[in-house]
Amino acid sequence: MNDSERTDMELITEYRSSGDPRILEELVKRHLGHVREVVYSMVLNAADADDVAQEAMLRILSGIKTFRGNAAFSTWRYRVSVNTATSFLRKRKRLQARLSELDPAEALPANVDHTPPRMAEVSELDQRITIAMEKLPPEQRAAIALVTIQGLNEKDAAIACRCTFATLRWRLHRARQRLKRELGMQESND
Amino acid sequence: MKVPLDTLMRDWAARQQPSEAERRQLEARVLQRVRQTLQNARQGNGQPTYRKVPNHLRHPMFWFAAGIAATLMIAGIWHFLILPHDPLVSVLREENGLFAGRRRSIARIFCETERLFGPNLQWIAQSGNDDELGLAETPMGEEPLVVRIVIVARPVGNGAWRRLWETEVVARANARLELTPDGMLDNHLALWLYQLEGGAALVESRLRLNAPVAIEAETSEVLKFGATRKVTRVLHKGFEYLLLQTVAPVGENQSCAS
Repeated sequence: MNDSERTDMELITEYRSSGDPRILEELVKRHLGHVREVVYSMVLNAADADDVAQEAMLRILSGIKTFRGNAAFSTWRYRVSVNTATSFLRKRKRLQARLSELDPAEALPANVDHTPPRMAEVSELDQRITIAMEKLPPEQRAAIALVTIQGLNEKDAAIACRCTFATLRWRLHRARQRLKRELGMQESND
Repeated sequence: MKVPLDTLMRDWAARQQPSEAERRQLEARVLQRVRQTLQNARQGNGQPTYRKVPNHLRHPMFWFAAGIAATLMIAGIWHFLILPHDPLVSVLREENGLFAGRRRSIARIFCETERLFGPNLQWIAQSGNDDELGLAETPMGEEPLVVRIVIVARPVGNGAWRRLWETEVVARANARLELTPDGMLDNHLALWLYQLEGGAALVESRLRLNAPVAIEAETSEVLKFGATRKVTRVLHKGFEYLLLQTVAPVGENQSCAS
């Protein structure tokens, strides 16, 4: 059986006994995309998303020797991604708060993507959604990233966010309400 | 806009994904770091050492006992020597005590005001010498919660914390309120409370003050009833500022009706 056909847990067990670095490469190929997607929805900036996804992926790999398998590997992967992105956002917020206190003109715009746009035109809708996401606190962004975008069930999302099921549902509700308001959408039951 | 929000968000996320080339580049970057880390680990452990290890040090129970002893010692030093003198711990304790007293007094004012305005009373706030209240168009049934918000400051990393500004609000859970603390139009506080199960509440706040200190903070925190927490920290011109919040119901097992 080649590596791509084996489950995450089989690969992790194998890595623990053999230490074969090719297993880590397979895990990176398998999970980096998801990690980066979650992280992007929280940091809202391509360059930062790459850096934070790299950091999160390294944390995931360095933790697999101690990963006990109480939750699915995918849930744990999301948990590490959300934690890494939240820490990054806190540091960035502190830096911005300091800069804006010293001289408002020096403050970086909240979450402007400094990388050149991938496409010649970034659609207006995408910009509006990004601006709406910027207005959500990190916890609510995480709820949207995990449940709405990644399709994770709310129970696993609560584990990934280290909060109770009720808190997760509430954050999700608030985030959806605010996004709808910012995007000028009618209230409906999505 | 007729597309459901979830579809809109999923499509947006898909459009933000890197191109195939960018994805491979990122993957290569991560793999390089992984290889580097493994190589460093190997180099670090590559040369076996042959120092003789005394027998008692090889016994797992020795390390277990040593671990417990070290943990107890650190916990003891922390608890008896460091913690009581930590200025942050002191200010949080003081706040807990203050909150207990202030909570009773502002809760009483809320209940008295409620007798005047009935269930349409949505919130009351006290900061400095200024009182504000908000009424809802329709009666609100939710139980009120008391929130105390305080800003403390000190020179960076040095000395005791000094209270700069404080406000207390009683608002019905799920009420969203906007007020101008101290009656100053430049000051603005938006607050929203949601009571959670298990003795906690989610407190979302957006604070913009111009006086007595220019500070801006947006927070969203789950707070355990009665426990003061630091929700944000700002550094400015050699000073550090902390925003502390405490929340609890108007009274233990009692409401305005009792």
